[in-house]
Amino acid sequence: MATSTTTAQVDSNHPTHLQHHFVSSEQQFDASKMGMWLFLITELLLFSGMFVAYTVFRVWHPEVFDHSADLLDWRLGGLNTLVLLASSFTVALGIHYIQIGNKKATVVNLIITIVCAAIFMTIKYHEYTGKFEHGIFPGGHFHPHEAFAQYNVPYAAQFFSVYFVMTGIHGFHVLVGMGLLTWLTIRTARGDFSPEYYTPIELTGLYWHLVDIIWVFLFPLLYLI
Amino acid sequence: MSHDTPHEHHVTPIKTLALVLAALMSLTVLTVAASRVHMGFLNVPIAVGIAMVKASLVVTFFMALKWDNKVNALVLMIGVIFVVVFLSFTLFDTAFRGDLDNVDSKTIGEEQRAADLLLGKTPGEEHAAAATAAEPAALDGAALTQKYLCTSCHIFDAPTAMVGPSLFDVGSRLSPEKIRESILDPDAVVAEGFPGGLMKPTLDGMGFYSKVSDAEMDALVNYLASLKGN
Repeated sequence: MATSTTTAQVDSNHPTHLQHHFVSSEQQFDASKMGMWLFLITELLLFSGMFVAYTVFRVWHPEVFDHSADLLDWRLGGLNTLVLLASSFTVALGIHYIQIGNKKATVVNLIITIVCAAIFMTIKYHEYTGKFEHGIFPGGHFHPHEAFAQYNVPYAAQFFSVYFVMTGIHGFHVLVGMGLLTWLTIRTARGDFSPEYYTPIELTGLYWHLVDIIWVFLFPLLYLI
Repeated sequence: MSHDTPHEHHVTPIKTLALVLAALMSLTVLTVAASRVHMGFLNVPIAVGIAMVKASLVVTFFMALKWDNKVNALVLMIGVIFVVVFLSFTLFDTAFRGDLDNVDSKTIGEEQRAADLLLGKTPGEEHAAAATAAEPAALDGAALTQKYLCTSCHIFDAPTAMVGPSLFDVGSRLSPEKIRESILDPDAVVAEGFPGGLMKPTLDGMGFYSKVSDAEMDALVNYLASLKGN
């Protein structure tokens, strides 16, 4: 009979994490993952609504959108891209380590992921306040200061509305991810996970990778082209 | 009854993850470099294409779809298909509206009569029909400044400057001829302290010179000439 030393069991064939409506841990894990993928495509369509808005406006006013992008600092955006890519790497490492039972390395990598996310949010905070200082606010409050008079053309406000809403909702997703990862770090340190059961880390990892993918599209569309 | 031996979950080797990270970072550098090279319309598909390659790497290796149950890849593909449908069908409408927003103050009949007269022809029967119809009500100059987005750069009811000078008292500063000139040829005389070379491209960009009718120009000039600043 299979025994697990790290997960408490009622009996060896019924680990505590296994819920009664599932036949096996494997089925439960597969069902959880598929459920997570279904949720992820709803997130994809959520952001798609905004990407479509961006595309419609861009097709209508290509020069304004091209020109307005000059006001966004591609170096900060690029750095944020590298930071998020690294955080995807570390969360994948975290999953790798829990799969082989190395709890400590999992905790370390989850913490690094959270730190990367915090760096991302800090850079975004600086970008936002920089814009606000120059009078660039979303929507009807768009009033760039004198130094940026050449950017105060019709439809530039729409570009910045799209910028603030898309990066804002993305940033909110980063914050939620940070919260989830923090909770996972605590649970891992507490001994809740093992190679037999680490589903919450797997699912949160998938969420985190999608947040990274969204940014991979946001960066070139808003900052570069 | 339950089969609960620890089953084989695919463990992605660290080396694979590290190689994928290196590829992702290189592609980031590539996309930034490509954006500095001006390739006209190609810049957009290149940027999107590189982003798609990066997203595929994340999905395949970091999210481990390569080794996963195929149903999850199917779920993702369905999501992507719906995104493509959403985007393309929206663009089938918005990208092909053409001149739909170009609403003129003249009716088509009036335009054709004016064209006939310019060509030295007397308006034909079919164009003359409504010639005796009452003239449309006098055009509202203030409404025209909204229609043609003058209000994006000029304030009309206070001395506040924006991108362009306040036009609050332009009627007491410029003659009607000068006012007309400042619209038709904005760089002929640029107000002190304001950037030249801005108003003309903006008006060109929105097609103002081809859209505005003679009657509208007259109404605008008359309106502006009436703004005396009190």
